[in-house]
Amino acid sequence: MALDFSVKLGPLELSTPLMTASGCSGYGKELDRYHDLACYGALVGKSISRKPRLGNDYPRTAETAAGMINAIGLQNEGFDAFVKNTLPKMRGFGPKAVVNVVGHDFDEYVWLCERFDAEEGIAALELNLSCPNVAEGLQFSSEPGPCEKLVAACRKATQLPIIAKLSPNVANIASIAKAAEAGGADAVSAINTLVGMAVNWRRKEPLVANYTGGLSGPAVKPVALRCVWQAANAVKIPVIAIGGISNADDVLEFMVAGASAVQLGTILFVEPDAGQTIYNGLKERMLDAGVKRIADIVGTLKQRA
Amino acid sequence: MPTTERIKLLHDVAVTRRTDFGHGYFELYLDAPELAREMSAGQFFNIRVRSELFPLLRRPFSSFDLLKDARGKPVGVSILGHTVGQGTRMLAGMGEGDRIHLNGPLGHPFELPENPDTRILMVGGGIGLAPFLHSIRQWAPEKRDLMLLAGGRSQRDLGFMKRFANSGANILIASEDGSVGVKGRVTVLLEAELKALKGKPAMVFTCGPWAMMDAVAQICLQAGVPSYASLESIMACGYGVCNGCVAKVKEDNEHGFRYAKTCVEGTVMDCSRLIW
Repeated sequence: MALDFSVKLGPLELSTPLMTASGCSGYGKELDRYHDLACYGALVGKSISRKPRLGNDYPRTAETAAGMINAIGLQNEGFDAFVKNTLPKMRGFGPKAVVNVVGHDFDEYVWLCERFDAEEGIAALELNLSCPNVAEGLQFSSEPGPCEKLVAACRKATQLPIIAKLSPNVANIASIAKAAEAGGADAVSAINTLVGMAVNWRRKEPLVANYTGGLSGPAVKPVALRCVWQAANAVKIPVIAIGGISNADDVLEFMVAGASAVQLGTILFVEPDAGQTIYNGLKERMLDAGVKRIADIVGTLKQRA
Repeated sequence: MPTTERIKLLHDVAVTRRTDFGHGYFELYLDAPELAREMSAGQFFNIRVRSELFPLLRRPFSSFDLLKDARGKPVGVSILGHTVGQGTRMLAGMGEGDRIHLNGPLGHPFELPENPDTRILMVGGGIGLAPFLHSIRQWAPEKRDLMLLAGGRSQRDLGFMKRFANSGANILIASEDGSVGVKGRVTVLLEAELKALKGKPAMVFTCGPWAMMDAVAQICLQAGVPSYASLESIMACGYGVCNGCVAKVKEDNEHGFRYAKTCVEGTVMDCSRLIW
């Protein structure tokens, strides 16, 4: 049986529903050392800002139960260096290149969208509306008004498909997803990390220098599943699932709950070839369940009578 | 569309033996010929202790010994462990037949200077001595002038030093409580050895607690001897994607430094570039 892995995210067509999550795969070159990246429909790069960002002090990561906390602080080389040095390589690995952009204010997001619009070979822009590790990062993801206004301004600034990446650290993620849709986003991705904390009581110190950080990994999967399901029920645009996805069953659970594609994050820190393993697992599961087109299972969660 | 030359980096390997040195220190011997062939002293690999969700992240280890068969063919590596948390506790309970999963070799190794007369001073503290056995195994056949300065809190923390016997380096030991070797810190040994050089070219490699490596770097800077540190740091991925395991490296920018990933720019870094 020939299997069809292709999925559509509005105007963005992917050869498989697997993507990498921003901040978890660099810009592709490290993963490419492990295997051919054809299992991925797209690679999503680490957030790029207008100017280089130094990042947070060390230590930046701490392991927690079935997960980890990170507070990297958006360290990146900035737009100019990225476009000159990194983007050309990122386009060359096979999967489509999605650029994740982050601004410290409204104007920086718009500036980045305008500039990236002029670059070749970018499949979509993902707006990081929700980094929990910088002081100014949360406003666009926590209130529908600012979220819609920002997405609308970015929409005007670029022809590229826009994915709005949502935060779980909100009272009502459905309302934020709707605001992103109303602003003109082509898709939403959910979730970014949950704000968390880890402490060493003997040393009386936080385990990351930033005190708090973003919790990720299998520990957050149930929260992500709930958020994806709520967002998918609230909007007509596609939803991309992120949050603790570690195997083929996780992928299919999210797709049944309404995700059109998924991003792999923390699992890549543990298993650099997770994309290949999961792709192989999806093939087996689809053959086993008689699913020819993976897109057919999107949003098939049964309504309870 | 491969753009990088790929070598095998993921290895499912068997433990062949465990040796205990007491006080939580242990050595695991691993049947890993492919890894042993590729690995250079100072590189590391990242161990997934088990395939469950906790502990989730891998644990970085240096290769301790490079294991060879009777004909000198590399057949595996060993790791030196100290039980400090859940991951190392699980490793300390392993023995023949248990399997672990490795990602490596990773990072940049120690690089010897071209001049074969250069004295190589290896300065290690506690568990940070681990990469130097592999170093000596690798460099002794080249007839290099090797000296190991080993420091630890007490004899209890240096039980594994017997594995360095007859390895091909001169060895001096210092312990803070004086229970083995000279009483004091390893930096006392280093200062004496640098004075004794009397113009002989030297290079220092160090691995251990950051405070010790910082002190070693300062002493070497004053003595005008180049020094390189293998940085131990908290890593999530170990192969360059998470940006977690950073150290401050001098840089001509508004901050005077940048954060460099120790897993890919290191772990061995030029001390003169580091801000401790």
